[in-house]
This record gives sequence, C-alpha cells and structure tokens, in this order.
Amino acid sequence: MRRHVPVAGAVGAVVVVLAVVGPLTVLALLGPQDSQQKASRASGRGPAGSVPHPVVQEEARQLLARAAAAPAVTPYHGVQFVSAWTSGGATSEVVDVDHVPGKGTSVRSDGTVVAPARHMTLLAVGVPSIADGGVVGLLVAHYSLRVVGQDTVAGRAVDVIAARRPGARASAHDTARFWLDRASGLVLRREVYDEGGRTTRASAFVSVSVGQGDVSPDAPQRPWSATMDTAALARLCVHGWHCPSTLPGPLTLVDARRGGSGDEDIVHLSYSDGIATVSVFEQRGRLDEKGMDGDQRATEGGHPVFVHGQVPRRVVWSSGGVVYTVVADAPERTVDDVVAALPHRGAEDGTFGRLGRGLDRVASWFNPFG
Amino acid sequence: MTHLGARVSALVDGELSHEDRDRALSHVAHCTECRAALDAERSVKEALATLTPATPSPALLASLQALARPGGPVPPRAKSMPQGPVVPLLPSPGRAPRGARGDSRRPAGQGALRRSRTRARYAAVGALSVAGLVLGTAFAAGGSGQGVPPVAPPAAELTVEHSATTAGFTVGDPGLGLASTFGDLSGPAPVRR
Repeated sequence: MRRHVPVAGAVGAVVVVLAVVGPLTVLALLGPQDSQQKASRASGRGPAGSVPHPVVQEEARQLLARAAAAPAVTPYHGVQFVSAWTSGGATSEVVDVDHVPGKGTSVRSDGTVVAPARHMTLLAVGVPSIADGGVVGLLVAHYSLRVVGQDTVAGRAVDVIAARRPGARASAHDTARFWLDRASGLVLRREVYDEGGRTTRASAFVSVSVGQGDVSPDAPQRPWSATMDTAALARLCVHGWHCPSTLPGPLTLVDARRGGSGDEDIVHLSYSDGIATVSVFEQRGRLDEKGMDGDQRATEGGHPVFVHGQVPRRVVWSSGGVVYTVVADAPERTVDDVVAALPHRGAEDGTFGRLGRGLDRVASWFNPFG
Repeated sequence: MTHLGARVSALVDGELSHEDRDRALSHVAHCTECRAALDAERSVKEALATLTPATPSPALLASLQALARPGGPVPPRAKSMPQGPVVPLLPSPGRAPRGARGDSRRPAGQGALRRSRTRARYAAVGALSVAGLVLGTAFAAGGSGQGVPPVAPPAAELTVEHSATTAGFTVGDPGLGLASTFGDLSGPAPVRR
C-alpha cells in the first residue's frame, strides 16, 4: 500500500509529459505527410519520378515560338469575342482590340444594358524575371504539343496546334488549342478545355487587320517595375515571405516583383504552365474584413476566404500576419488546390491562436521530411 | 550544387562570404528541402533569442536538496559477470524486504518509501518543467497577432497587375487577358447569357 502513492505520482508525471510531447510528435509526423499527399493529389503526380515527359513536335514548337514573338513586331486591329464558362455561369464579351509594338494593347467595349462602355490600354511584361525559355519554354515543359491541322479564322489561313497533358491516354482530351495565322504568326483563336473536353475559355478574332493598329496616347497600365531575379527572391524567402517555386497544377514560378511602398509593400509572384496563370500577392498585416464588402465569404479546402468573380477569380485571406490575394485565370480545381497549398493558420489573435501558431512552428522544427 | 547541410547555420549567421552566400541563396530558391531547413534554423534562432534565462522553480530546488540529504544507500546495480558463477538477478520468493538489508539508520521500508516519493516528485516537477518549456517556446514562436496593421488589398490594382504581368506568359493575344479584367475595373461583370 505504501508504494501506491509515489507510483501514482510517477504515472501522473509520465501522463503529463505524454500529453505535451504526444501531440507535437503527431503534428510533426502527420502534418508534412498530409501536406505532401495534398500537393501530390493536387498536381496529379504519383510517386517521385513518375511524371512522364512531354512529347513535342518540332514543327509545333517552331510555330508557337513564332506566335509568341509576333506581338513584338506586328501591329494589328480587330474585333474579338472573349467567353468563359465556369460553375458560376458563362460570360461573354465582344471587344475592339488595337495593338502597336512598344506602345501596348488597347481594349474597348461598347456599353450594354448591364455594363457600361469600358476602355483600357496595357503594356504587358516583356521578359519574365525568373523562368528561362519564355512562353514556349513553359508550354514545352508542361504539355505535349503537335500540329493537328489547318483551318481559317476571320478569313485567314491558320495552323492548329494542340496541347495535351503528357502521358495522357489516347482517348484523353486536349487541354488547349491555338489557331496561328500563317502569314503573321499571330494567335487568331484560342480555346481551353477541361478534363471532360468541355470548353472553359474561348477567344477569337471575328475580324482582324494585320499591319495597322491605333493605341491611344494615354499612358498605358504597366506591371510593377521592381522585378526580382532568383537571388533576390531567395533573400525575400529568408525574411519570412512565402515563395514556393511551384504550385499545384502543376504551375511554375515565372516572375516575381514588388509593388506598393513602405508599410504597404506587396510581393507579386506569378505562376503559369503556359496556358493557366495564377498570381499570388502577399502583404504584411491582417485582413481588414470591412474592406471586403464586394466579395463573398466562402470556404475553400476547409479554409475561410473571400471570393470575387470567376474570370479571373480572386481569393483573399490572411494567415500568420500576411494577407494573401490569389488572382487566377485557371481551372477551378487548380485554383482550389493553389489556395489549399498556401498557408492557412486560422485565427491570428488571442492566446490560443498564438499558441497554435507556435506549436505549428515548433512541430516544423522536428519535421523529418524537411 | 549539393544541399547546404551544415552551411545552413553559417548562412543564417551571416558567416558566408558574399560569393558563397549568393550561391547558397540561388540553391535555396530551387531546393525545397534546404529552404525548409533554412526556415527551421531561423525559427529556432529567433525563438532562442526571445527566451529569458531559465530559473529553477523553488519546488525543483527543494527536490534537488532532498536528494542530497542523508538516506539509505543506493542499491547496487546488477551487472553481468564476465566469469564465475551465474548470480540470479530476481529475488527469491523468500527474500527479505529491501529496507531490512543492512540499513541501521532507519526502520525497514522508510528509506525506500522516501526515495520513491522523491523520485515521483522529481518526475512531476520535471514533467511540468518540460510542459512549461514547450508551451513557453510555442508562445514565443507564435509571435503576436496584436499590433499587426489591418490591410485591405487594392483589388482592382492587383487584378490589373495580374493581367499586365501574365499576359506575357501565355501564347495568345495580349488583349485576351484584358477583357476579363473589365469586371473588376468598372461596373458589373460582363454580360451573362
């Protein structure tokens, strides 16, 4: 009997230790595996090394390289329609487009019953700051490419190029098709499809005049000028910003730059596979929900977020003292997976929220999977 | 370039040369494993920097002093014998209680009871110390959510920035991305059909 009390005390002590160390061990062991499984599912990859290589037809590669270079040397004017189909419905718009190399691209739409007349001129980015190989390099890295035939668009002869996920079955559908003008190389029509072969994006010239364009002299919208190369981005990562080199899709980090100033410094990371595009903006602070009146509260991947629009789709949330804004023109499933792959640390205030974040960090120190 | 390995600490401490640091940072940009190691190293150093010096609790000090007080001898630890007759390690059914063996200063069983209680207290204090250390470290590592400024992302500007940047990353007309941007710039979304 006299040994019962101390034994009970020792057992209690062991229980206390297990109660503290046990959850940490579980977090350390299960957390990374769960993340890895999530990323693997999202990217559609199997075990490491099982990703098949794209098969690229040389003629298709040359035609696409010519198409990518054409806007830098060829002015044009035309009328085109832009349509998108999503789970939230379909949108379609007819716009006038003028393009002059070095001056930018001007887009105008006439007013309708539900939308006012709009006009914008934009000077797109030239060379990505991170990715090598440019647009065609991205496509070649992510898709099998081949010439599938000839056609006509707006009365002009075109070559048709198909892009398909590498390793897809013979019965699988293409991911996208490009109609390339034989005379100028310009893309006159582009369609993007989902896994079931249904069209999700379509844009095409109804009429086009190659060799002439008229861009308004107003100052065009430009991307932020402060670009970052690989070394600069690495220094950014060291200082606590989240900058993954890939995102589910899979999408590759293409470009990095900074905007804003002082306390409103914003980091912009661009990801693409040559067809889909995703921008991740990171801003120090916590989300001011009063400023999100135009957005809808939603849950994506089990995480509370604010969502706006379909094309492009914008998702906003904050985590660990950083506000994340994802702007994406990509399949909905890809957007969901991208949002799930980025940090979500829950509540940011209060002792329990702080302890939760701290336990996450402590668990990550013992993460055997790096 | 191979993984950083032990150079992660040198990188965090700023001990690498300019050239070595740039090489290491370039490697980190593409290596998930080394980036995670670098992040963990930074987190540990930040946590350690914020910790106050540990002071033993009065209970722990009392337990340690109790261990130093005179008491019964520590029972000999059983060792295997390299030679000679094999000695049974388990007590025989008729063996006398441990307190009765050569302890002339205390009644039989009293020393063993005190030692057991001391060990139990020591284990309890140790467990509480570990729990306190873990929770304290977690609290420090969690950072403060208070004082973080509220921000509302400039939605329209970010959408234009997205279009202006990514229009150059896809094979297609630069205007294709712009038309869809209209929905954020002014007025309602494009016509639904």
